Amino acid sequence: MKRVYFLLSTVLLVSLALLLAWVVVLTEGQFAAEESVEWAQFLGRFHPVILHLPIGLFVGLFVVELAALLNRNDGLRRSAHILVWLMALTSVLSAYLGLLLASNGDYSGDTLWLHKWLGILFSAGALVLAFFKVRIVCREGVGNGLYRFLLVGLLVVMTVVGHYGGNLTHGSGYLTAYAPDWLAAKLDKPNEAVETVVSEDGAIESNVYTRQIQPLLEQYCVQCHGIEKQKSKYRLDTYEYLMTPGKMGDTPITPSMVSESKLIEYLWLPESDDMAMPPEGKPRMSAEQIMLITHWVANGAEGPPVDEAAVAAERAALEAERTELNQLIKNGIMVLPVSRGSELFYVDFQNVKGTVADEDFALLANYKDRIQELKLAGAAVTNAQLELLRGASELQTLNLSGYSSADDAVDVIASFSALKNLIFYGSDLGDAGLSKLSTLNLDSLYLGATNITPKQFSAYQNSNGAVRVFGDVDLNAVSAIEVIDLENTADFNPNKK
Amino acid sequence: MLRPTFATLLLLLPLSMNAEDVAALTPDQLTFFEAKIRPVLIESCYECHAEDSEKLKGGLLLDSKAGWMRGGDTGQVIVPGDAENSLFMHMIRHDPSYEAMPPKSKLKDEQIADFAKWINEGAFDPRNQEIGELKNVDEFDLEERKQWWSFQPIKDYDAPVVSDPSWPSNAYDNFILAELDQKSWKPAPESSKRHLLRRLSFDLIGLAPTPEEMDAYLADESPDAYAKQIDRLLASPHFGEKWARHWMDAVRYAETKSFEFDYLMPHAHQYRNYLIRAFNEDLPYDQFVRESFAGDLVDEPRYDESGTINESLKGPGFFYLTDGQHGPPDLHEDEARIFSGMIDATSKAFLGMTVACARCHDHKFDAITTGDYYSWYGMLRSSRLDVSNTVAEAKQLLPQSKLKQGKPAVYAAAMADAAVDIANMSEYALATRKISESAEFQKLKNTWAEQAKDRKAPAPKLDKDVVAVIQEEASQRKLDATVLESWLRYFTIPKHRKKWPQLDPIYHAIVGDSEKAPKLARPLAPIAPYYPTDLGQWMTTGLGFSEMEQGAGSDMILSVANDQNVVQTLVDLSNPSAGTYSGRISGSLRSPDFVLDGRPVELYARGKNARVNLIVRNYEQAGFGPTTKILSVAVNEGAWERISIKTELWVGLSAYIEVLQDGEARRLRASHRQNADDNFVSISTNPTLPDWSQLWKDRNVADVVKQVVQDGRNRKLTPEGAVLLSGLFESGLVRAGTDRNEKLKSLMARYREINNEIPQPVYARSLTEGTPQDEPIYIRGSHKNLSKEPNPRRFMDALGGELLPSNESGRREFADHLVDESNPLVSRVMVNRLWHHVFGRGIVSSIDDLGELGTLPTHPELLDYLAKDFMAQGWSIKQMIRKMVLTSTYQMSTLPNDQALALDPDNLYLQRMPVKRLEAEQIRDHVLLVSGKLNGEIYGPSVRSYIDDLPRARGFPGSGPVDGKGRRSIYMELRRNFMPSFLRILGMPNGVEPTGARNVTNVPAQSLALMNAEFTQQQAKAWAAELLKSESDEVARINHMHEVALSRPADETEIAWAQGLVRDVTRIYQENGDVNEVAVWQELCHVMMNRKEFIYLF
Amino acid sequence: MGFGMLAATSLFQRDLLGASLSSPLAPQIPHFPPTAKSVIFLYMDGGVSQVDSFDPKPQLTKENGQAPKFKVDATVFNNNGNLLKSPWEFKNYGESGIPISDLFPHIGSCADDLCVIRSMTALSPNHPNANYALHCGHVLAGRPSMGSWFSYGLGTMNQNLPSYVVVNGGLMPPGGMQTFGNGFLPANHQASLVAPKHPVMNNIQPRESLTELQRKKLDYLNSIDRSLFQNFHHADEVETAIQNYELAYRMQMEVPEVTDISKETAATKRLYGMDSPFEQTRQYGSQCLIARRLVEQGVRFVELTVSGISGADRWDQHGNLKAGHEMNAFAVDQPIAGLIKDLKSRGLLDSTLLVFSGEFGRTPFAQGQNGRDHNPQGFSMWMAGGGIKGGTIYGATDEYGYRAVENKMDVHDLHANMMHLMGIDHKQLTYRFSGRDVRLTDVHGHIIPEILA
Repeated sequence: MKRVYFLLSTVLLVSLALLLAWVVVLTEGQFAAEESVEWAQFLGRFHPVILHLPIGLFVGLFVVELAALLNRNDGLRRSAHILVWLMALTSVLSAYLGLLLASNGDYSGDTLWLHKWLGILFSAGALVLAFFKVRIVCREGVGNGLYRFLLVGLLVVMTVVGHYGGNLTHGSGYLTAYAPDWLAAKLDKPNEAVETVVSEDGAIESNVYTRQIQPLLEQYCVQCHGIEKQKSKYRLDTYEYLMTPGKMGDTPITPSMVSESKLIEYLWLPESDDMAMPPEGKPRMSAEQIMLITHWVANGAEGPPVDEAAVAAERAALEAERTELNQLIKNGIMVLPVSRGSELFYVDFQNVKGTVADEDFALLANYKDRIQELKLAGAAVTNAQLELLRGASELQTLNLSGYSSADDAVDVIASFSALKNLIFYGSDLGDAGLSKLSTLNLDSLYLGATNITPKQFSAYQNSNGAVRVFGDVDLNAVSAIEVIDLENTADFNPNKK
Repeated sequence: MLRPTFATLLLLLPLSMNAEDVAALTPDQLTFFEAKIRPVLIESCYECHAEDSEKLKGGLLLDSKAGWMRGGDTGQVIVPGDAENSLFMHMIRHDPSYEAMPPKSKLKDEQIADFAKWINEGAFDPRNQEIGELKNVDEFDLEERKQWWSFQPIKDYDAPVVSDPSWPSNAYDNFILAELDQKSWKPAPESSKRHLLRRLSFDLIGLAPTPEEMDAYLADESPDAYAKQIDRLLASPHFGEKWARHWMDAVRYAETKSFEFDYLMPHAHQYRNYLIRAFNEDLPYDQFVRESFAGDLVDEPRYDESGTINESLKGPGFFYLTDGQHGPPDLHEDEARIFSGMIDATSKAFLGMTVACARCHDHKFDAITTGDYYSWYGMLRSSRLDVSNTVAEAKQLLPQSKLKQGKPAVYAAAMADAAVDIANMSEYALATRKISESAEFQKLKNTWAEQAKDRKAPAPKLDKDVVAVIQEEASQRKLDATVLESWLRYFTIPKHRKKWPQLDPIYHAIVGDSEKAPKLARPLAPIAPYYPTDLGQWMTTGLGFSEMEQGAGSDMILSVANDQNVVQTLVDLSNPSAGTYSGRISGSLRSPDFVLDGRPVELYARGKNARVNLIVRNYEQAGFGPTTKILSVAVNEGAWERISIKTELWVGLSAYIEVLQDGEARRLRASHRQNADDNFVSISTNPTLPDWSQLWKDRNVADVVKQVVQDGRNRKLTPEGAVLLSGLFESGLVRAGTDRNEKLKSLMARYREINNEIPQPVYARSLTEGTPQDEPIYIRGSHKNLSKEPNPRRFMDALGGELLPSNESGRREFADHLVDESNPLVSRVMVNRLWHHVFGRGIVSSIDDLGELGTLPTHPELLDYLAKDFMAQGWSIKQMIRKMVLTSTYQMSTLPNDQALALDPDNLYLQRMPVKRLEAEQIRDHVLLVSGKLNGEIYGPSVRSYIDDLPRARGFPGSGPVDGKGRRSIYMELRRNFMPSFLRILGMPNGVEPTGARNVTNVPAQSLALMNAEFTQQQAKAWAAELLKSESDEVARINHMHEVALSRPADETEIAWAQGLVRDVTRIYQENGDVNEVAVWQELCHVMMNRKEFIYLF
Repeated sequence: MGFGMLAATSLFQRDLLGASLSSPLAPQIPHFPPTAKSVIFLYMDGGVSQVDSFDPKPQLTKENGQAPKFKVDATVFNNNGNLLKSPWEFKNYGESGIPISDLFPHIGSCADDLCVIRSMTALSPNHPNANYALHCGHVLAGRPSMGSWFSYGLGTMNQNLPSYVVVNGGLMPPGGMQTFGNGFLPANHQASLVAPKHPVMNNIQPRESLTELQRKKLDYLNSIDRSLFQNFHHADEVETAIQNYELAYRMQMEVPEVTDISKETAATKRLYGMDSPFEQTRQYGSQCLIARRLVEQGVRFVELTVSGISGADRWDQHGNLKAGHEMNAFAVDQPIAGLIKDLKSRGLLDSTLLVFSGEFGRTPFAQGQNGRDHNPQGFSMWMAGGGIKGGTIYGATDEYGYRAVENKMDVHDLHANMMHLMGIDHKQLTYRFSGRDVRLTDVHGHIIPEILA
């Protein structure tokens, strides 16, 4: 009978272990990514209820085992047997629920990580403990020492798990918040302790904002106040935007003026108030987290570390760049960013009268990899000057209408890897030049009013199907369009040629 | 795996339902809702009608049952069980008379059918989450908004203590210097006398000082030399011309209606002259405000220097200087648009507030409610546009009473003279028949027949030969040739005869076919007026209609212009009539408002040069536009004319009838005829139908006529008798001619003499009282969506909100509240405006907006001090300007110290005087001044502007002379569609938007104008010619040029520079042919006009 | 940290270029990368009838002569007759098969470049109001015209030419110069009116009899202004005023030169229909040719008004529809097709947005016997080039062509999309006036992805 019992219990324990492993895999993988299915959240919320059972039972087990050890009473050992089972079952169950709860994204950060894995370790250990217990019962005391050792180990693990669990729900400073000064000094207020975390590029991140404020805002606010969505025009995703006014003209925070910081005001509002943030139905910050932000603002809301040197350097670089570009503009070469916030330029020689000075073109060539569109259109630019742009990586549109000695220029043009639209209208491009163009995968090519023979033109067209090629307008087709016989009024009859 | 099966099972359960509601919906109702209703609502309605939609439209939630049950702004949307009259169904069917939903494209037909089925089956809806009460996104808290600085009462400040007490010349300086002391800046040094006088002269009268004035000032060493110059300029008549233009900017002055035909508003220029005169007379600003709002209601009106013209009446002239659509389909919408423009201009000009923003919603920033807007609207609706005769009533009443006394004698004499013709009636009949058989007449008759074929033939006229026959016949029979001619025309031209049906019996009697029953006069078709016909309620303006005496029988309407027949017609004085004594005593009569119900508006009218208008929702352009042409009817007939105006296009709109004795006064037309003599009008809403049978009943025609004349002579005319006698006089069968009756001649001479004592009417646009009424609030500004209860007319809520009297429009009380000492805005706004024009920038730079979106005052204490000072010394504008230009601040030069230039580039704190560019009008006037062509004539009608360089468009009026007859720019005629380009390019506003402060721009087009405009070339030539005549010596000539143009002599470099230019230009001319000295100097004059110092004040 | 990080703050960027060019029309940086750099607005003043041009209605032909079955709203002349079918046939053109009436065979040949919008609506049935709405986004006079908004938003590339040019063919549209006014925007954004005849622009023609006279005078003027300017060095607006004279002098040269089409080849002139027997076609051809030359030189916004034709008051045929529309169409058809083909062959069509539209459409039912009254509730227009998706039809009217029922568009949407193609966010381009930040699209305007390439 003992053997049957032993087999049955090992099977049960193994299946429970497998189930545990499966739930872990589940919550780690796709399940965690998808925000949270409602039922998981519903069940997850029972985790704090169930987890007290294994703790109680384990302590009970420990006491019973201790008592059994001291006064060698088998009856106690048998009751311990039941306790082990109960403890194992409830610990695995609380592990499932814990994993479900964690999946809803409410909690994050490393305290959760620690609590989760230690919790799993503990429940796995509980199963092993149960297994040992069963074996002891079935095999008359074999592995008793191991069992006791495991028991003590699990006790330690449980206390640690309990500690982190508490931190997660009530915040790390909960226990020591009101510790008397002597004790506080000794413990030096864990939440005050500003751990220095070294950021990837070596700059010392000793800053509260980046370590604590930013993640909080990221977690609770940026979903509706970020790049895509700006509810009532507030953006909270970068430090600068915390200072930029929203729709009604007031700014989320004003350094060291908590009363002037709308963000703080809305955070403290009770959930029922319809101006409260985060609004109803969204996970809310804990009082302690709000206090953290309030505290930070009160102390001047110090922003992310600013690397003075880097900013100064960049400003100087930009200053130099600006003077150079203004120099070009004064001489008629228009250099304009393609759009606000873009590094690429649109360059237009529209206002250039007569020849282009070499040093101007050389100056322009410094930025050749940031020219997206270049319009020479009749300006007297030489091939030698064009050569300076060899390899311009971003150039997409090039307007060389009316360009002379176009054939020689084709060689440097072929080096523009990103070129999409090429306009040779009215230039002296010949068949030779055209043939060298096939290396480029162009989108559109304009060859009207050039020296290209019709044969070569159609040859190019057939071999480059994808390219939209435009030649001269077919005037015969135009005159072939016949107008219907319009009503003849006194001074007008179109069909009378 | 466990998850999929378990999860999908769960999902099927409708999650957000609680138990008892589920039971209410049957399963197939539920599936129907989930399949057919909810997805469509989500896809095409939730964007604007859901709890979390970006902007909740129409206050309607469709994402929950409670949401649509509550309905939206316009009430209930879905009536469960009754789809047909659910507003929702009309909207989704895109029924044209409802707002189409979804706005951009129509739902598919089966979707619409589903909704109909859903609603008819009770609109079952499982979505039962509660909804928060409507979050009014712009929660408007008047108290909190009233805390804004410009709503605070004006405080008393004493002049602050300053570092250098000797610098300030009056208290204003203290405030400026105190501010500079804080920044430890030194004020700029004093300006040179030359620059100062040039600046002062331009700022006060808009013209440069003449060399003589400059020399006199330089020679005057006395301490108050500068003060004397100020008083001289303040007293100049040109002062009004400069400062009137600033106010014309603020009230978007222009003289045409823009849009398609740019109709000219007659008499618009009177308002400009009113402004010039008001500023010249230094009319106190509080009185100016009262006249602007209620000039027609002031107790004792103000008169011009001659005492004949009522100036106060012209005050409200600016209200209707709006643009105007030509035949808009919706006249109510048109009124809403025009009133919005009026309220915008008036509120900015007087209150410095953008009240027009509150047309659709409470003001987003300032303490202005939609109620304010619609109480102002109600005030305007209770008033009406009137083109009033501004001649003082005193000048009309005395002569009128004299005419009244003298008239009976003239009446008797006229009747006596007419009796002579009556006596010879049979003679005239014979003579007429004889002439009609004469050869000459037969020939004429044939030509008439020829002409009659062509439709547009002129009315038949007698030719010379026939007239000769008449003369000859008349002398033979000793008859009156003029009367005989009338008899001939009456008997031979049927169309002519038809005008007087009441004379038909005479005609038939004489023609002899008397067996035809005497044709009774065309029976007056009865009319069914549904407007208030109790004439006691009707309102009059002017004295024209003041003589209505009930039951006074009939009286003659005399003609002062026509010697041959002094009697125009006879009118029954119990009907409202005007012009019974003199056409010059003009006036208008208006009915109370009534609502058009589609039936035509009918009444009878007779008169000369009169007009009857139906004014629908204050539509000014009655008589113009394809659909609105019928709203104005000319009245030019002696006989009753039946006026019937169809109104089915304007059912439901309120309107009033307007009878104008001088119909042309209000016509939108180029020029208005100045002679009002002989104008008269008489109307009747229920004319007594003449009962002819009683008069003619088997009596001899001649006896009847004699009897009527006899009754006429002893003034016992029956109504029928009066109509018959009128016909005799109008047709000329009888006449009262001064050319043949000495007694009548002397009496009429005396009558004319008294008539000419009355000045011809001088019209000006003004307002008059209409039917006092409150206007409901237009929900979201839509005139089709009115609030249930009307919005009581009251003063601004934020400034006390006192109710206006309900029996008047309220304009007078509104003005009184405005200028009440406690009003925080009016005085501040005006002194700020004056400060802007003197110092180039207001203490509050946004002149028209002292609200939250305007700018903050740079010297708040100074602004309040100025406001208090302004009220303390009786609101005198000249005193305020005098004190401002007397300040040391004003007398500073324009040289900044470097620190101030760096820290305060915009010179907000007036560390130095700003460099000011002359305004457009000043530049043009200065060019005319230097060329000697300036014509300083003041007041008078506008001069046609030079617009030949504009492209042609509909309504192009033709261009005036290039130099505008030398008149100052303020007198140029301003047509909204054809503004003079020279003035526009230099910054004159376009007369559409109120512009308190012009923005001075700097564009190449301005240089092109000064370089190549025909005007500058022409004036340069004139200047050169005048220079060559007056100055022989070259250097003296150059010096004189600089004195006139730049108010200073030329220095050596300039003399050398000028001589160099003359030399080079002469050489160029020589190389290309002959040299003309005027042409050479014209080039120099032209360059002088292009110099920066010519158009900038340093 | 590359240029990107700091450049993101547009404040710094605006400073990069704006300051260096003191000219008031310095090029501005668009909000996002534009596909179009210039606009040519072909204004069909008077209102083209949609059921006779780009919106075929077989139902209308079927019920020709019958009384309309739908609710007829008040029209301007209220002389509404029965349904009137289109006197012209429709053919399908190009691969996209867009149906176009026989009035526009030449434009038909460019069908694959067109995006025909059939669900356009106007804000008013009156000429001047609809005209102001189409140009200035508001039915009232006094608001800045769209040309001025583009000039204000983007400045212009060529500093010697105005940014906003109207090539005036004949009669100004109803409402006069305010149609092209700058309203409350600074005066430098005002339209420069150019006519295909001499002198080409107001005040552009020096009046001095001898050419070198003006240059000599300007040199003297410049020298005296500069010398005296030292005393008042701080007033920089005086400095700008001095510079304006040089700019004005250059414009005197450039404007006549860019509008002088005599230098164009005979082939190009034939393409634009300048050899046509009909005088108005020749004139509209010269206007289109000037428009291409202006856009080639970088002018930001060009508008063409129709040439006056005697016997046909622009497109406003309240009577005599057949003759009137035929003459108007014949005057513009070939020149516009010529413009499209010329731009295309020169590689300019992709960067130039063409808009062909009247201020409203005309009623499917007759006015009197053979006219059509105004219809603001549904009409057709088309756009081409500048990033528009060619060969497409957008939106639809009911089966009679009276009301737009599918994907309704109004002038605000048109402006929003034009600005989008030019790289402007119509919600951000504002000007503070009379207490609020005014936009061309006021509080309306939606971007329509279906018509963008």
